[in-house]
Amino acid sequence: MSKPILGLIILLPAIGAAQSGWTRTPGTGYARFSFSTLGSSSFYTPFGNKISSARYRDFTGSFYSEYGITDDWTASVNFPFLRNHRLDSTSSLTAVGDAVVGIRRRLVRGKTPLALAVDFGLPVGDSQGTVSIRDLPDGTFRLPTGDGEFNTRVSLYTSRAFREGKSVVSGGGGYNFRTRGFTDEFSYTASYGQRLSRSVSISATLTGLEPARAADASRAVGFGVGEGVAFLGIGGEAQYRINKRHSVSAAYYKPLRGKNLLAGGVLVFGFGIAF
Amino acid sequence: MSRYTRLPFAMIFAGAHLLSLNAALQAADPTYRRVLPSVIHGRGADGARLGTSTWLVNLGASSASFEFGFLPVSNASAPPAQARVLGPGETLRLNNVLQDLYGLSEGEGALLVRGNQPFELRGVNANVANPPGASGSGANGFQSSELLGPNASGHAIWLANRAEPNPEFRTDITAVLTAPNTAVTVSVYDATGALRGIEVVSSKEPAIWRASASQFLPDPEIPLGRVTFAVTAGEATGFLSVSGSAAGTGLVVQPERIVTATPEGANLLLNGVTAATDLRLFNPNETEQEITLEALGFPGGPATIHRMTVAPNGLLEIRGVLGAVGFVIPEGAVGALRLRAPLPFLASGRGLPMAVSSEIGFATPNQPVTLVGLNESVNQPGVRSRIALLAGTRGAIGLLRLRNSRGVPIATSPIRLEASEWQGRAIGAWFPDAEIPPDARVDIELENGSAHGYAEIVDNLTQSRVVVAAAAVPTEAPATPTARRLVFSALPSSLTADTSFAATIQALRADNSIDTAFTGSVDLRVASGPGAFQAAVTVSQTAVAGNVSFRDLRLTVPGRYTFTALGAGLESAVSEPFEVAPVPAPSPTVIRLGTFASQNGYLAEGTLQIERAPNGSETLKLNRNFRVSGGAGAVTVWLARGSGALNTSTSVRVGTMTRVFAGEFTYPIPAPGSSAFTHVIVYCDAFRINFGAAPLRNP
Repeated sequence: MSKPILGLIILLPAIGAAQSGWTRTPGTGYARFSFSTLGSSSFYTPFGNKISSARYRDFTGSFYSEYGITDDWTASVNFPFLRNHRLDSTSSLTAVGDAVVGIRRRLVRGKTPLALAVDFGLPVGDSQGTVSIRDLPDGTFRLPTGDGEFNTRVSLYTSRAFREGKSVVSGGGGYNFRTRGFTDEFSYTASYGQRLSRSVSISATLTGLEPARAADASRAVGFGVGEGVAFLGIGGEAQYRINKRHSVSAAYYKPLRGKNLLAGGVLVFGFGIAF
Repeated sequence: MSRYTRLPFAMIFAGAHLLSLNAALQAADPTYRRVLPSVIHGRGADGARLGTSTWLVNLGASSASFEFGFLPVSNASAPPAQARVLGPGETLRLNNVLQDLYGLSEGEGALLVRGNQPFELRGVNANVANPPGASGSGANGFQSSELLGPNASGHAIWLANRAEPNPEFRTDITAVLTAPNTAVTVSVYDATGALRGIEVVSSKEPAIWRASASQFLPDPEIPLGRVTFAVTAGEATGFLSVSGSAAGTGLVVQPERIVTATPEGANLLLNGVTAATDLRLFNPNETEQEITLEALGFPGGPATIHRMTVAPNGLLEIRGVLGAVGFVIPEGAVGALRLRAPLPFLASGRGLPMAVSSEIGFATPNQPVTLVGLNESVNQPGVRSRIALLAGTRGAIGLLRLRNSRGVPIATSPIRLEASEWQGRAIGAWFPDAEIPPDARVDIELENGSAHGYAEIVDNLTQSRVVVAAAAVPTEAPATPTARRLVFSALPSSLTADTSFAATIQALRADNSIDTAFTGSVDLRVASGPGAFQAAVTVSQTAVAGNVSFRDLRLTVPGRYTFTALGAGLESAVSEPFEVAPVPAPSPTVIRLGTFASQNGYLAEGTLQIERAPNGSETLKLNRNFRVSGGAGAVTVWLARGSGALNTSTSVRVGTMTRVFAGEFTYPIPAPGSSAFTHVIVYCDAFRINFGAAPLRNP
């Protein structure tokens, strides 16, 4: 059985930060602690229609960081160190989520840089997590915080700055090689960022995901790590720089359409540190 | 033949030195038949050369012709039958029956002998090449009255088999089908009565079937077991051959019928018991019963009594029975055990004469008995003979009469035994003034009382012993053959309570033919079981041409039963156990049908039906073709009023699937039933979405 994936919350771990054609200056880095919440009482079925469901809630605390190794190489890591989720018909489960470790190589320099990113999905989350169903004696439901598979996403990103760097556009696409029988996926993203003042900047993002081939609808997996997920989503983020090193942010992402996906949006609050 | 296993001599007789097969005389047919089920001539293990010696004694009052037929164990064609003529009382000894009669240099099988006068036949299988190199194997033989006819069963209760490669003991099972178109069911049970193996053996021609227990049984580890030979057509017998390093002298065990208990209970005598005797008891009944053991004939005081409890259908082995049950018997003493129980049972002692009931095998003033083929020698090779007597409850007064191989009396020895007194001594000691002739015969003739007698023949070289049972000597001209026993010829193997059925019983002569002149009365009774016949049923009928049919029989209480058929002067019949099943509940009616369709992109397929029982209760059955998305958690099944998103407040949950999400499921529907609902929904409770719906329709 395939189940709706958790939504954009686990698909957009560091949107706007890593998905660009630039690499970081050697010896510098950026870290962000974020807290996200998702609530949804509907989902997109595997056929793409949106129906009501039991209410789902997720609270996730994540750590994201990237570091410039050389002019052309930047390393990154994203780790959801705490996840608590439940359906309103079940008990809750708290565990860590799957981590992503990546490396980005700038291929083309200049005003329109091009970078190749390789991200490894590490199955450190609880892929066997099970909760009990309240009104059903002996009834259990799989509510994992990880998909239990090791995957490798290979992406190309490019970016371009305008108006003396006040405006930025980025875009790219990738292919995710999944294991343990999961269907591979294509992903793509495009974003536009605008600095409004020395301290305030905003961005908008369009992102999407499609399976590389027809998914196995009868595959038995748990909720949140589904097979055959597809979506097109948008998001916006506002960032305020407290000083040269510290910043706070708020973002919201929501799918416009999808398959096998929760329909609710994700609200993310972050605290960033440059070093 | 449905199954045939040809085993090499080494497997059948390895280690065996002596196999005595003693066929005694009981029948009064114009044509008398005896079977020695295992005769052999050939090479065995370790240089052994096996041969069968036989003694045939014409017990009739005139000369008689005897025909010897050989039924080979292999597919080899049988040699032509051979004939011999013997004078009255004359003994024919054949040192190697297969070589002497048929000129065979090698062969193995059964010897079938017919004669026009009563006779006794016994045999000894021996390693004639290297007697010291083998241990002995002795047993009673077979007589024609022990052949099993249609619907008769015999139980050989000394199966012992271990599964390891070089077992301490092992058992070969042999069925001898002596008549054309014979079918025998060979069933192996363990000590608890559990069926461990079964084989139906049938053949259009007389044939022999043999299998080692280790090859025959799925799980051959049965140290304590028994075998039932149930003849469904024709005529047959069988035997077990137990051998191995721990089998002692080895055993050949023949099947015995279960004799119906008299109102006073069942009563068996085991003669020749010593401190080393191992005993087996088989309780064929559905209830536990206590068997009383009474030591008889031992010196040192009055008889003592002990009681043993045997479980239903259970088999019990008591090693060193005298000491085990607490009898204090002087070392070296020999005596007998009388066994009594309320219900029928079987008993067997290792290496002893076959257990006998109080009437059979006893000498009385009207029934002399004889022991044949006796020899007395101090040489090696050579054998010596001992004769043992046990007096009945009134003692025994009479004489022993010694005859030579031509039947001529040459000496007598008076006997006077007190009640239950046991005496055993060498044949020369019974006749101190006479020289014992070769192949002698000793008759036991009584004026008063009764006595059970047997002979023990001991090999001087190997000390192997063979037990020879006494045979009855005919005292008058053979009468017209009449019915000897009753058998169930038709009885359903399974019944339903409160349903009429029929049972047919036949009166058979000793040769298993129907006594068409029999017109006696036969009673049919429930021998064991939880209930009785309905009161209106007639359980006493008069035979017509040897057949008795009981119709419209009816049992109302379900359970396991056996029947017994009783007729005056006839051996009673006991049916095989059969089950009476409860009256099945009336079949439910299918009132609604449905076919699942997937919903919300999840899989749900297959068909269902709703059944209504006669009591009005309803059941939802998902059929074998049912399948639903599963794996993430529990899926529930609901009766709903539509196919849309499930409204749990107006629907009824009837079942839950937690691990298996395909195949047949049956769920009771709570009252008042399914009439108010239009759909069956399979639903994910956790996520609150439908996986599929099946609209309900009338069949």
